[in-house]
Amino acid sequence: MKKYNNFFGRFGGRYVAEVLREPLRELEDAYKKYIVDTDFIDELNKFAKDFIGRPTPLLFAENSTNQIGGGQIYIKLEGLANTGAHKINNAVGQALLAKRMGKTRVIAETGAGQHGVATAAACARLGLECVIYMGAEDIRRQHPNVYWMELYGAKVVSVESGSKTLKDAVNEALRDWSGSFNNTHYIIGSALGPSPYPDMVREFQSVIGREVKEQAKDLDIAVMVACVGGGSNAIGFFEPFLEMNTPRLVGVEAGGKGSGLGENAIRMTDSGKDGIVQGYKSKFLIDSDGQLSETHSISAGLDYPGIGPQLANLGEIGRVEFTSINDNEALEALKFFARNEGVIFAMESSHAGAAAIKIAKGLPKNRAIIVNMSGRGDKDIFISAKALDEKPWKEFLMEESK
Amino acid sequence: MNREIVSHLVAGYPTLEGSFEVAKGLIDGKGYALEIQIPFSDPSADGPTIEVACSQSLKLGFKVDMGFELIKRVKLYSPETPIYLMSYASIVFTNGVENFVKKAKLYGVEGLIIPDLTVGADEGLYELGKKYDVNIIPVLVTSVPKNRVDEILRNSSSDWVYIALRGGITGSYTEITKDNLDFLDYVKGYNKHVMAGFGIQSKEQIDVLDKHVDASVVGSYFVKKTKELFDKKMDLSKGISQVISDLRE
Repeated sequence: MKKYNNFFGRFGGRYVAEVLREPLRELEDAYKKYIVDTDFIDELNKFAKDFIGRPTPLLFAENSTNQIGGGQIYIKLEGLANTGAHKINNAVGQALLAKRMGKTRVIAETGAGQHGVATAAACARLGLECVIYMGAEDIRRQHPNVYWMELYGAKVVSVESGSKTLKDAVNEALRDWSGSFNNTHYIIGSALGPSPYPDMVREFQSVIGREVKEQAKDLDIAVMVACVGGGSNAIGFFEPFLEMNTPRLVGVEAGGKGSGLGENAIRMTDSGKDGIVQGYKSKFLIDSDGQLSETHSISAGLDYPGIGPQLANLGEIGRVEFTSINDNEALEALKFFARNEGVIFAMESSHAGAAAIKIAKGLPKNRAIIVNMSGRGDKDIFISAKALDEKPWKEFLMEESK
Repeated sequence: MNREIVSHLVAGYPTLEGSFEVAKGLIDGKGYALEIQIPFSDPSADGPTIEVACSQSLKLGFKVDMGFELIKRVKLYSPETPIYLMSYASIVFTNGVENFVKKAKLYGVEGLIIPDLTVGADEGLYELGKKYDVNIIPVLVTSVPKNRVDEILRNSSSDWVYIALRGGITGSYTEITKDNLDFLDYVKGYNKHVMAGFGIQSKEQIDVLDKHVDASVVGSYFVKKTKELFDKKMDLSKGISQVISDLRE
């Protein structure tokens, strides 16, 4: 895989106002220079080991495998990385890059809050000022992460515009950056946005796939499964395998609560249309005029109407297959893996877990399916507890708030 | 002193009919031209005033075709007032770039202002502008390097150039600096008409700009005034006409 592509088939590019061309050119130059710079790579690797806690384990889900009776299920425990999700790989990479570029301030958008937490942690470690934009609706859904970001010293700005979710946080961050790029780097949290972001985020996340390739070298891998919001965990997990014909690579989108427009976040089937939004060309949930549609998912991190341009292209050429999992199936998978393996998937990753359960059933016993647990489920306690344990949980909250 | 103003309105705000009343007021108050914004759900270059107006218009069911119908009515009301249509890449691309440019020509639009379709990343917009004789008005900002300015202006067949006087977003007050004015003069050296805006909301700013531009662009200020008038249930066209007259005094 080339480290710099700009376009992936017809997707990608850099569709931004003139004001952002110069900071993006500066970022592209820095990215191209440092991604092959030995000193930078050494520093990144040292951070990966000492600060992030890499390599993360690849766990054989033995009980689940025995219970399902199909292929061997393995779980890449990316949720064991510092701050609890894969987002830290990219946040550290870009924060180190920002430092090299002489930037003193970092901004980021966050949906589920994991990218915000990761960015805030990386900035705390590197002594960078940090501002996180988060939709008011996401703040409501993911309140624990707001506390962590503030504890790391970041300022969290509640975004009240539009649907008050991730896409609106992106808009607000873009607005900030177009007036502040002289001293500020914008750490986009997923493999999307104007180039060089899709390439850069994929490179920083590809550590996941490289580790899996090493850890699973004795396995006969049939399928790899990852959830896809913007798609950074998926593209990083898949990256070392993209140019081979095997294994099957499966991206799992949020089926939400129904098939109607606004009830899910499925971009890669009939509903997604080519569009140019937030600086890049990809598949989006848009209406016939080009207005972004509202989306729904129980997981804030999958609740986004666009998908990274490289994944959109990989879907079109058939290298990555797409499927979807609804809210209830994701909750069931959360319970299943918690009880059988002692691991709690993030709500986003539970979508991948649910798809893995379905796919494993059809595989022979000697073949492996690897699912990326891109994050831990601690942050989702207010969602999962309410959904799975409503009455006692509500009583507890009432008691606590006295 | 020309004190020419390119005034801005959001199609469908505060209502579809209300936006026509605002257009009449801006024309009656002797605005030189109208910049009509077709709302987009995610207007990342706009500040809170215009963002809220766009989302309000969309909530009321605004569709792009209604924007063209509004333009048609405004053209009937004042055939000689130039109309510039402002929107975002998503709207133009999804409606088909060629189809959009053709339609703009058909409805009498003088020029298109699409900030996130720039020279070299424009999906053919600039060439189609030449083909259908519609100005594709580049949006420059004073931080753009000179070699890029040259590249843009060499590729642009537009009579007009739009200059944003700073980075950031529309709406908040802009201090006009000597660097701003030098940049405006540099672009005027290309024999282009220059309209400049972003955060223009006072006579003093228009005075400072006047010698260096062909027109000042006033956007969020009118949208804010529109909201005030509408909330007080006052006559929109009369009220807005007064607002623009006061600015041009």
